[in-house]
Amino acid sequence: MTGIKRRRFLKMVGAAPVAGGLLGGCGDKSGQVDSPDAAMESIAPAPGKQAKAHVVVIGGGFGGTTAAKYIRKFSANGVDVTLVEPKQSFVTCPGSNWVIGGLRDINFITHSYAPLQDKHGVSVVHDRATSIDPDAQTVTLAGGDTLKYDRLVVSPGIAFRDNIEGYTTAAMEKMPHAWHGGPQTTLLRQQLEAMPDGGTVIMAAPPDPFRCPPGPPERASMIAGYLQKYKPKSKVLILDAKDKFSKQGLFIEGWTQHYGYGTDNSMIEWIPASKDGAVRAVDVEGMRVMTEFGEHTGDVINIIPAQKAGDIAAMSGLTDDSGWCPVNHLTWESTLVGNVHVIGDAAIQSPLPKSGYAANSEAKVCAANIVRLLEGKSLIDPNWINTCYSLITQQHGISVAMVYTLVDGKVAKVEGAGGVSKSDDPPGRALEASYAVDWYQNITYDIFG
Amino acid sequence: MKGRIIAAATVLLFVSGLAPGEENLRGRTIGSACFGCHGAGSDSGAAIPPIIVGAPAQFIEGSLKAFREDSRPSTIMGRIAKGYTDEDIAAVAQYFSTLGGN
Repeated sequence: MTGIKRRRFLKMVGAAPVAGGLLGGCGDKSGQVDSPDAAMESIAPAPGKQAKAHVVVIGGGFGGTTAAKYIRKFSANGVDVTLVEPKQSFVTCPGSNWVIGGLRDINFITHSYAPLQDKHGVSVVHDRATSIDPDAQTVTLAGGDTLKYDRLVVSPGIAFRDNIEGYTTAAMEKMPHAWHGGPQTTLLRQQLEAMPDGGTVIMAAPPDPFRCPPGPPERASMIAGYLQKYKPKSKVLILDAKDKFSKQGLFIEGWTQHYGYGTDNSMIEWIPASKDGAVRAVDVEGMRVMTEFGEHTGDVINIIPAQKAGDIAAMSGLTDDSGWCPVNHLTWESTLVGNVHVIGDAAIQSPLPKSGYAANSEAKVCAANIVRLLEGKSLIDPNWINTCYSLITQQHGISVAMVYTLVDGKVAKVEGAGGVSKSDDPPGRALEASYAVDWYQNITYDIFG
Repeated sequence: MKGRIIAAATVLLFVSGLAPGEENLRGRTIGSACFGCHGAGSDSGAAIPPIIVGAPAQFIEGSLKAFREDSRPSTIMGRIAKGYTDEDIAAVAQYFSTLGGN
């Protein structure tokens, strides 16, 4: 059933007694397009014969793709949505550590935009946004086209800062960051496969704030698991720009259990900033990294630089001195540029983390309130969840979760909720390892399916 | 289909506490955040955590409260359920119960 037909149907039967979820009983496949919750929005005074409102979304990652889909759902397809994303398909960062460790294939984490277009009616334009004109409310694309918007959503993810001397674009081909999913993920995997037994893998972990706080220790775990099986004389050396890291107690518990952490034969060594862990420079030819007082030589070197909001955000006046984008957490509208909303890693969202789950959750709140704004209705009271799973081995999973609400106009943790997995809970570790993979399949279905 | 809709609407008005025509936006807001783990449809490929779309409201409400009080053991649901009031739980249970699977 199309949105238009469904709207007519509602008029026919009379809209008055209709409440949330009414159409859910239909159970037809088109429920993905005309979701029941979205259908109820269409009962509102229809825009009539006026042109539909148009929302442009820049960035087809966890935040942008979710926003595009849910604006369609929450408006019962009453709002036109165009997604601008240069890539033909999207390789996720979540799950990429599993590919690096050899647990999964790159295809497992690669997603098509076809359902977004075919099932949800989002117009997907594979081009790069080069500039935003907030007065004319237009976005200019590299291909020369200009898109006019009523509301703009910017979800550009992260860009790297130049905090490590010598880490140029060319250097990334020798010492991959693998902090964007795609060819960099494959490159790091191939380097690990080519490395001789007895080699050292160096990981430079970034300072806060950065995308995916548990990402570096999970990556170290996955690499150690691969080495243990295929190159047992090798090790992972984490050089950290911080003195602590996400889910630290649970990671160290797992490393101790599986990788001999803390012993002379540990497959993982972690050097915090206070012990001269912060990498300051790289020597690509010599495969060396330099800290303030020392240097280390590696066979495979993974450099994760310090981060800031994606380039289009800075070029468009959406960032403040921090390099990230200040937003109103009720609508995720920029506090610097009107009618432009910023979600995902690029936004200032603390205490929400810069995670894929948070971006997905932010996008739904943003989508709901953009539709309410376009329909001239009161805004909804937001609520967010973050849930991040990490694998230490294929059978050992850990998690962190939190529920968030709006307090005095800002995101705040709900007191008494959330936290990390119970320690010393082997059955829980096995369950959470399987949940981690299910989490991945469900969230990517929610976004790309 | 029309008959099913009318039946669903009748049940809805009894259990939701919503005035006729009132949208369960609270339930939708909270429920949307759950789909990251629980899957918004049955064809995501994941077996667990369970697909909660279309589950009876009483079941969801009872489960969430049991998780929240730790009377039902869990890895993660207890941590998440502690973030919600009784009213939130009733709203989200109502929301899921009225969604169709696919």
